[in-house]
Amino acid sequence: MTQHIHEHVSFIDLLAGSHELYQDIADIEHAAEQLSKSLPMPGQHLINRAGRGNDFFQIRAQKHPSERISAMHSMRFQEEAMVIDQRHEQKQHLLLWPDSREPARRPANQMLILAAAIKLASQEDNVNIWHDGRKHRIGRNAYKNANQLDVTLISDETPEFHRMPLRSKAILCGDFYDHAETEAMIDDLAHRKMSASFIFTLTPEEAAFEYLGNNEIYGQEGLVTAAGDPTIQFQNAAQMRNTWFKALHEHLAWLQDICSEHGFSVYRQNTDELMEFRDGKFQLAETPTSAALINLMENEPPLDLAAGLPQPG
Amino acid sequence: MEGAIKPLTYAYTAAAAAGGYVLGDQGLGPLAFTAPTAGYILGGAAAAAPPLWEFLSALPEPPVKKYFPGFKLLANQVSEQLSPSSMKPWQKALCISSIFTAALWAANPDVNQDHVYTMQDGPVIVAIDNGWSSAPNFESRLEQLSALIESAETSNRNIIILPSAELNDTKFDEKTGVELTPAEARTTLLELTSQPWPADHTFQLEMIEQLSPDAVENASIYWLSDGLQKTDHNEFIDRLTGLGPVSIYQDQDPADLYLLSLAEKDARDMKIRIERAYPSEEETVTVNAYDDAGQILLQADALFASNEDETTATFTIPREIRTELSYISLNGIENTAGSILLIDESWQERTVGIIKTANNQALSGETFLRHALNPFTDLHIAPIEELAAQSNLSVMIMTDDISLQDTERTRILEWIQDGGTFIRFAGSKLATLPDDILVPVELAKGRKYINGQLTSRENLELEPFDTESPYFGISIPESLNINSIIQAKPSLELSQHTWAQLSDGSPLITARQEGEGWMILKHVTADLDWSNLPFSGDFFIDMLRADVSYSLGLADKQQLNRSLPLIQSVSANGEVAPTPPSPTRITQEILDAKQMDALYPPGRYGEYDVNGTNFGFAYNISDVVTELEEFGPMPSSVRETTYEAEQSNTNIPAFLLLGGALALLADGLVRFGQNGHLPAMRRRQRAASENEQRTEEGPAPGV
Repeated sequence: MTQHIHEHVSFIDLLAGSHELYQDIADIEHAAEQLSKSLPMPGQHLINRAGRGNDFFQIRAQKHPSERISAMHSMRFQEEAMVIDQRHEQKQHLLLWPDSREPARRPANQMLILAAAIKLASQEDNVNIWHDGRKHRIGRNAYKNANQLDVTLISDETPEFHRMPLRSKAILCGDFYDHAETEAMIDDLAHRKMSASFIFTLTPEEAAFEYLGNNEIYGQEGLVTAAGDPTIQFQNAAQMRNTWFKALHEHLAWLQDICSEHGFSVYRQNTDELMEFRDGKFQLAETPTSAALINLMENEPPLDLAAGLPQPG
Repeated sequence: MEGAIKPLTYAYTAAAAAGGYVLGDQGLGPLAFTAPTAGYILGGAAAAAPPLWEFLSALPEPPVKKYFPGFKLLANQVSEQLSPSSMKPWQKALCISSIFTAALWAANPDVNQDHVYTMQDGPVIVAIDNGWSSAPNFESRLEQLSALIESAETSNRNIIILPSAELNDTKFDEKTGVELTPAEARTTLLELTSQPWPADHTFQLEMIEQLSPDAVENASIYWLSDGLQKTDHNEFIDRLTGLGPVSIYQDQDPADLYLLSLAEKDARDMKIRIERAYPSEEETVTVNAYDDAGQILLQADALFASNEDETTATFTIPREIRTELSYISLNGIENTAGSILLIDESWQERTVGIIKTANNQALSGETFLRHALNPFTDLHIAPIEELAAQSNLSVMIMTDDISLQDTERTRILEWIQDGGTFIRFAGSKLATLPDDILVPVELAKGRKYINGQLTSRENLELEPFDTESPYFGISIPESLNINSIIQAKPSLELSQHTWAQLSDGSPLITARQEGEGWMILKHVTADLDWSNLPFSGDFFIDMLRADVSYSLGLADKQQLNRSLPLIQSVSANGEVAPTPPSPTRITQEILDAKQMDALYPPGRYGEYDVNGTNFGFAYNISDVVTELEEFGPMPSSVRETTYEAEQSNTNIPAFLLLGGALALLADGLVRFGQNGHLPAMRRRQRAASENEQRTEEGPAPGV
């Protein structure tokens, strides 16, 4: 079932023909290339680097309880526990997945993931795209080296972690509003002993909830309320605004808690940093920046997800 | 829609319907509704308001449908649909007010600013100025009268119309000064016009006197004035205020009103005095002189200085067209009977006769006179009998070359007494026989030589002319040399008869009225024997011109001595037209009494002679009106207003329509904005949201 096509193809060719969700791929790829230029080199130990042999190690302070403490080294540093990072003999794998289902944040999700992929590909890591049951390799390096990072970009609607080796790392980008689905993903990741970083993307409509007067809102096709209605009508915008921010804060708290519980990091990315209001509509920004991706690649700890958002009354 | 109409709404509806009907039918204070079905319109509109309020309360706003990215999260929080709320109360009020405004417009509202005056229930007395000075803007007076008739009709009151100028139609006598129903008044109104003669409060006072006290009880009085003061002004106001509350209407911005009159008679130049009623800024007016056919013969400009009410236009009239001159009027303005000036022959060229002598010398007095007079007079040189027989001879001149017979003296005297002007020059013959009946003053015998003294010009000079002298204004040349005069005998009356004198008091020119005419004596010769007067250039000519101008013309006097019919009339707007034969004839008594009315209107009176040319005199407004004067302050009890202010009330429906449209527009904009289509309202909401974020002092949005 799995086929490897060892040929050089560009992102654009591959992605444009691979999935209808990438219909805006030309714009997104351009913006993603711009964004990738602003990204730092991937962190030393977050992702393996090529070219330094397998004797590399580094002593550093423990950042998470799940990290194995080196008692010998910790004795020297009495104030904090130290761990030793070592490069594994085993090849490392990275999974990238943008949630492309929700149209308002789809371009931002794809842009973030593509930007990461482009950055990695530009550093001779091995980048593949997993789509529709087929794995397509892109990038300049056609040869697999042991110390190369094997990046798999999944364009399907849901990530299939079982295709990834154990102890792989995943970067997932989406809203994670479906708690049941998110919990299932996290369970799957934990089961496969994978580490993961979540990027929660927030649109300006959600961040501000600017409504006046009588309104009727709707979501993706097929979504209904608890009462089974495809829309929500409200006259009292202030009251509904309160309801919304209460739900948003609860969701962010839940996401942060569940990620923290499994040792996963979670970042928030406002889509208006990647897209800007131009010519009367939101478009991809000419010079997008992503604080979330920078922090992730520099292995910086995430801030409070709900920082700066209006509080419910 | 929420349920049925509440029971209380029925009560509100009934009360509103009753209130609306009363408002429409009776009005409110000064506000009246003139549409015949105003009560039903407003009652219906008011009755519709409570159910409409209920309806709007139950009517949800159409929602704005939008995609929301966080719907999945929010959907879990919303278990049931929120019931959409209705319009806000002020929005409902805005909507209902736009409908009620339309109803008010349909009811045709009118604000009666003098509603206090309409509290009276007696007749409405309307005094209307319809004289010559009311011609400009007369339409506004009629419009106001029409409005008053309409108002009287609404309140079932009769009307008494008092025109200030008598109308020239006897059928109006039955309609003026008597109580008329509004319908009758309306037919009278259609026939009411401004008249070309002056308005006369006396006429109105007479009509008021004829009204019985019962008929004018509780009357409201309106005076539609033209703003100019007339005879019996104060008495008229007293009488009006005695009848009831008086409202006086004037033009807010009165139209220019001019009065033309003859400033100076002169056989060559004609000076027209132009007076304006409302002195304001500097203004140039153009005066046209016309012939009988209405063709412009001459044109002259006159400048009113700032805030001056008087100016003069001067025409220099070529001899060829003097007899063609018919009338003068202003160009480019709305003419009235006052801004037209009919010209009669008293303004035209004089016929002057010089008694023929046997002296044929080149430097004879006759020669000098002929050269001086010929340019500006119709000059005849003939024997006495022939001259005296001429019907239109104005001036007869006699030099000293003639020896008169007694019969000739008597003939000349008769001619003078009939109105002729006799100018006589002294000389050796008169110095020999000074006891002549044809001299204005008693003369001393002999020629007085003053040659030595006068040539030195040290002691004896010609005194500057007195303001009373006909020669006032003529400059005396330095080269004037008088070497002999005939002296007048000193008397108490001598100074009264002296028109010019030397510095020692010796008269040079004396004059005396004899009958209807004048006798003028020049105490020097007409030739160069006694002075160089004939060689003094303009001085000699100007003095003769003044003498000729002083004469009235024998023909005029003869015409005035008998009654004359009107042959050419002037309309209220200054048009000259021939009139059909009239049995009424004007006489000197009428002219002396300055009676100008429907019977003796302004125009030309006279007869057609055998040649078909009219032969008469002009009767102008300026013959009876000497100045234009605005009203003084009115008594405090008199309410003063303007036609424009009253007529502006009729714009209320238009304002209502505009107000209703604005209310609808505002309503639409509010709805538009509420639905998020207005950037301003979106920005406001965003600003409010940002403020909220700032108050929380949280970190900037980011990771």
